[in-house]
Amino acid sequence: MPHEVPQIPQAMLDLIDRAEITDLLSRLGVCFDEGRFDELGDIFTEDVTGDLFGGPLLGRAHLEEKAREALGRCERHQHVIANVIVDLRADQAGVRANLISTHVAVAAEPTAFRQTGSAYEFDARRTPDGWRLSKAAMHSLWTKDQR
Amino acid sequence: MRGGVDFEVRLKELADRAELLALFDRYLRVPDEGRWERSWLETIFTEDVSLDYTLATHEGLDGLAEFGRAVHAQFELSHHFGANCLVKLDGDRASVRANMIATHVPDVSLGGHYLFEAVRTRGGWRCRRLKMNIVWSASGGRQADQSAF
Repeated sequence: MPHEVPQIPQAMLDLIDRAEITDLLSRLGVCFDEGRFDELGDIFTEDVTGDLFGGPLLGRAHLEEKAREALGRCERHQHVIANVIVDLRADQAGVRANLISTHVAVAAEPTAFRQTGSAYEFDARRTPDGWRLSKAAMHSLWTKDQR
Repeated sequence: MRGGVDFEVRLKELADRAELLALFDRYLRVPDEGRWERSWLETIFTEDVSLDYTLATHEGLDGLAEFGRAVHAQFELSHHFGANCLVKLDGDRASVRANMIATHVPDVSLGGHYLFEAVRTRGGWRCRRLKMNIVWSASGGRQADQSAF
């Protein structure tokens, strides 16, 4: 007799997807804050497109190159990511979030930094390994320099 | 994922994640709300909690209220704003990593990362170790009047 698997309510499955996608953005923040570029593969698809670090993205290897170059200009980083909005469409999702990023050029001088407020916009895709970001864009809204 | 057992595991993880996010939020607001009474701190920290704020450290639930009050004594108020809280579960242990922007009046604001180790107790999740790394600091502003919007 076949084992009966109870029907899982769609709302519960959506809840899990939403949590996984929100965590994806948190991991993105850690990756950028701490320069853990080896973790980019757990966050982005290999063919990721979009516009990040000032210019078009042509895949994950290109993203890593751009991230290393841009973040390498400062010694400390903080990416505060909040208000994550997830629009689920089965195995795809649109994701938006707010970002306040702070970059300290010299770690020993934490009072000199550049701070920018931006809106993130992503497409996410369900892969066999979990959700990954397949498109990424950042729209910066304000910036201030603290010296 | 579509199978029953896997779903139940994920749902339990989701419940733990929600509890740990709530624990972090409650932790963050202790100084803002001035809730240093032991009966409240017990719902957040283990008896043997270890706190490392780089500029100041403290061990144990005993004396934690005095430590916290002393750290914040120079300020009229504080506002701790946390975001992108990431939970990593490992059975009855968990690590939590979050970003925060803290504003103190007068007159310092700072941004940094929290690393948080939590354990599951009979009463729920509790923080056992905490480390704060400061990334940036600036002036903090003045107290807002209530006409702000």
